[in-house]
Amino acid sequence: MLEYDTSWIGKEFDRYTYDVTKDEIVEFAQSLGEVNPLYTDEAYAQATPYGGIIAPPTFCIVFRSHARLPDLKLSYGRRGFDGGKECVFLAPIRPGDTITGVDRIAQVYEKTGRSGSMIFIVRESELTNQRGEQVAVVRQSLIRRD
Amino acid sequence: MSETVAYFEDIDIGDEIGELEICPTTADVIRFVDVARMQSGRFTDDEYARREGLPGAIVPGNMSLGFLARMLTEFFPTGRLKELTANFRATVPHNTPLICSGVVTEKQARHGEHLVFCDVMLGNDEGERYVQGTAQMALPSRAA
Repeated sequence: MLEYDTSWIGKEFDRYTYDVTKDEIVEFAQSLGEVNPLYTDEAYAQATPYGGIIAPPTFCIVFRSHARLPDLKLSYGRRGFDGGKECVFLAPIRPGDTITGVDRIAQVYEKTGRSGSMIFIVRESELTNQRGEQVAVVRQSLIRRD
Repeated sequence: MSETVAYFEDIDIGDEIGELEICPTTADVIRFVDVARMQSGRFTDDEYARREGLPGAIVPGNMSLGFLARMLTEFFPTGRLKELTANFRATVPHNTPLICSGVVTEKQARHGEHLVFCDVMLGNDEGERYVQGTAQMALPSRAA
C-alpha cells in the first residue's frame, strides 16, 4: 500500500541555470551520430528558416539538476531506476541561450504487476530561456521498488 | 536511411518510418554521458554496473531517446519534432547492433498545424524491444 508525503506534489524543489555553448551542441549532436548540418554548420544553418545553429531536440535532457528528490517518505521502494521520459519540445535551443530549469514532483502513483508493486514518481522539469520562452518540458518517470 | 518524407500529404497511417541502425560502442557512450552531464559508472564501467545488479554497463535511456529523435528528424527532414515519449522496458547493452523503427498511427490537421503521430521503438535484430514510445511531428503541407 503506497503512502507518501503528498505535500510535495506540484511544489518546486529545485531551480538551476545553464549557459548553452555551440561546442556543447555540436558535441551532443556528434555523440548521437547526427549528420544534419543544422546542428553543426553555422553557414548552412544561417541559410535555413532557423537563421543559425539549433540544438537537436533531445538536447533538453542535458539540463539536469543533480539535486536529490525531496524525501517523499515513501512507504516502500528502496531501489530506483529510470522508467522513461516524456519530452515536449516547444522552442529551439540555440548557442548563447541561458536555460533555467524548475523541477517539481508532478505525480506519484503505484502499479502492481507480475513482479510485484512499484511506485512511479514523475519529476517534471520546465525549461525556459533568457527571453522567458518555454523551450521544453521533460517528465521523467522514476520507478521505485523493494 | 534512404527514404525521407517532406510533406504531410506524402505519408499515411500505417506507413513505416525508415529504420535507423546503430551500434553504440563503449567509447560512444562515454562521449555521450560526458556531454549529457550524466556520468555514472552504470553507463561506463561493467564492474560498477554489476554491483548495481545490472548485467554490465548500459546505454543511457537518454541516449536511446536521442537515437529515436534522430530517426524521426532524418526521416522527416522538413518536420519539427513536437513530442517524444519513451518507456525504458529493458536495459540496452553496449556494442550491440540496434534498430530504431516506427509506424504512423494517426494524422491530424488542427489549429493550422499538420501533425503526424507515430509509435516508435528501439530493439535488436532478434525482435527484443528495449525502448517503446510515441512521437508527434509537425510537417509542412502542400496545401499551405
